[in-house]
Amino acid sequence: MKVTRREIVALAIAGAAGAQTSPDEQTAAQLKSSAEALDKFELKQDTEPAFAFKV
Amino acid sequence: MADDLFFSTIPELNAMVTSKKISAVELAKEFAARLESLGPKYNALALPLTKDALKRAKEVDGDIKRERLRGPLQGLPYGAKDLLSFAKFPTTWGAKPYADQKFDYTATALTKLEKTGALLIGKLAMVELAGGGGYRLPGASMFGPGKNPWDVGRWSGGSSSGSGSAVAAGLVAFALGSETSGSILTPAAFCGVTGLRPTYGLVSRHGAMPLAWTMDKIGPMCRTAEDCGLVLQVIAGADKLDWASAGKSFYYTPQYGRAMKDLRLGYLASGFPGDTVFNAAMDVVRGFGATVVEVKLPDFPYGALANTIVTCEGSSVFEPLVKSGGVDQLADPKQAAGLRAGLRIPAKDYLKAQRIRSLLQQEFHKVFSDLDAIVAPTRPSVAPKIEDSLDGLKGNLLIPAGNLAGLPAISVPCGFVDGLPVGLQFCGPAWSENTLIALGKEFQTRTDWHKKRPPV
Repeated sequence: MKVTRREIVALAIAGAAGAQTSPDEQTAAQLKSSAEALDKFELKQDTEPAFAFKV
Repeated sequence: MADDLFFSTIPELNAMVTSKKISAVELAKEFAARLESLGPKYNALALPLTKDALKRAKEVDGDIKRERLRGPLQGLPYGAKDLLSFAKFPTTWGAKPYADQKFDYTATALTKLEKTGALLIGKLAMVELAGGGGYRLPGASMFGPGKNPWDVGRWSGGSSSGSGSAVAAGLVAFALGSETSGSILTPAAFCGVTGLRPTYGLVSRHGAMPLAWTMDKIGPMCRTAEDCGLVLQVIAGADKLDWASAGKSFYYTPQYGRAMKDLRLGYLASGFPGDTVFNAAMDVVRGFGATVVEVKLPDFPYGALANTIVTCEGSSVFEPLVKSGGVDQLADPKQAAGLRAGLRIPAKDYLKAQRIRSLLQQEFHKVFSDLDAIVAPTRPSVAPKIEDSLDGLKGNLLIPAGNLAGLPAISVPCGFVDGLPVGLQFCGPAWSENTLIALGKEFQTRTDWHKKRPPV
């Protein structure tokens, strides 16, 4: 099987990253932390979203 | 051909072309050859467009011969991030699942440039899907990791990786990038070039890959602040094809700029890779004669807001990719995980983020009622190594803050740390591009960091 240098580098990089936490776990942790930060932020009831976003 | 040509500014190149010192065809040939030979060294080239550019260069030469002058970009070879469609040619968005994608229309920004006689000589590589799922590998691209011309063992930054390295290495006269949350400013700082993020809605995104429709912006990456103004003047403007278009034009008018001594600047004194570099840069800024005061950003959960909004909107945009399973073809598994998870974020979280965001915008209106710009390190770190995970990469809150508020910013090279370039950003209120460009230009009049060349 022929393996290019780029593929070897990609595998090494993926291996190094994978040695920490899995992408799913990491994403879940980030989203949980974001949700918690948003939860802590108190809003007045009449605060409307910046939906039609115009500056 | 002397290297000087490839590191010339837009006015310098324009003078050469209009005085017929060099023809548009010759200029396009020189830059295209350099882009094709050196682009792969930095994984910067997505698609060469030499043949098409040379055909148009002949028309430009005809125009110049007949004295039909179309402005400072006429006959200048440039590159565009491969997130912008160019009719009938592949537009990959840097991602394997879209490797064969073609559109039958051209992005508005590219059409506007074409009308002024600028020559698109190549599409430039980018982080896949502009990093919408959240990436942790510099190699998160179908083109491989963007390599930094200052040290090919380092990342060029993202997601406008190819645009940053191509400008830094003198492969194009200028480039277009895009920013949702840091994708112009980061590669500009890491590669030692000048990058401008326009106010949200100033530049049409028609024909650009959507990532987060309330945050996406297209902007120039150039050698100088003045060059950014000249490019922005062409690509800005109303466009009915972009619902978020603010209907505003931009005219680069340095002649009407306010005196530096009349400006009031706030600086953020937080963490820089080598405070001596930032302090030295701030000494230069103080030399402008403007009032400079220390400021703090309003207290908001910037990271959480940007993360929630970009992930939600990006996952919605790429829902078909997630559902088809094509998402697993992405180079970085974290991107796939992020896009999948984004579909499960509760609506209440997205809405709360957008509600907080409206307060954030109001707070920044207040901040800028007393200030003309905030100055800070663009990134509080140098470019990481290619093999490093981006998990530990330090961020700067002014980047998500400015993007969430839709504000413009410019990053100018301001020195070197460990042999790698670092940048200084000026962020201002909406529609303050002329002031920001003037600040960048003033900095570049007093320093020569933007003239440094990497060992190409």
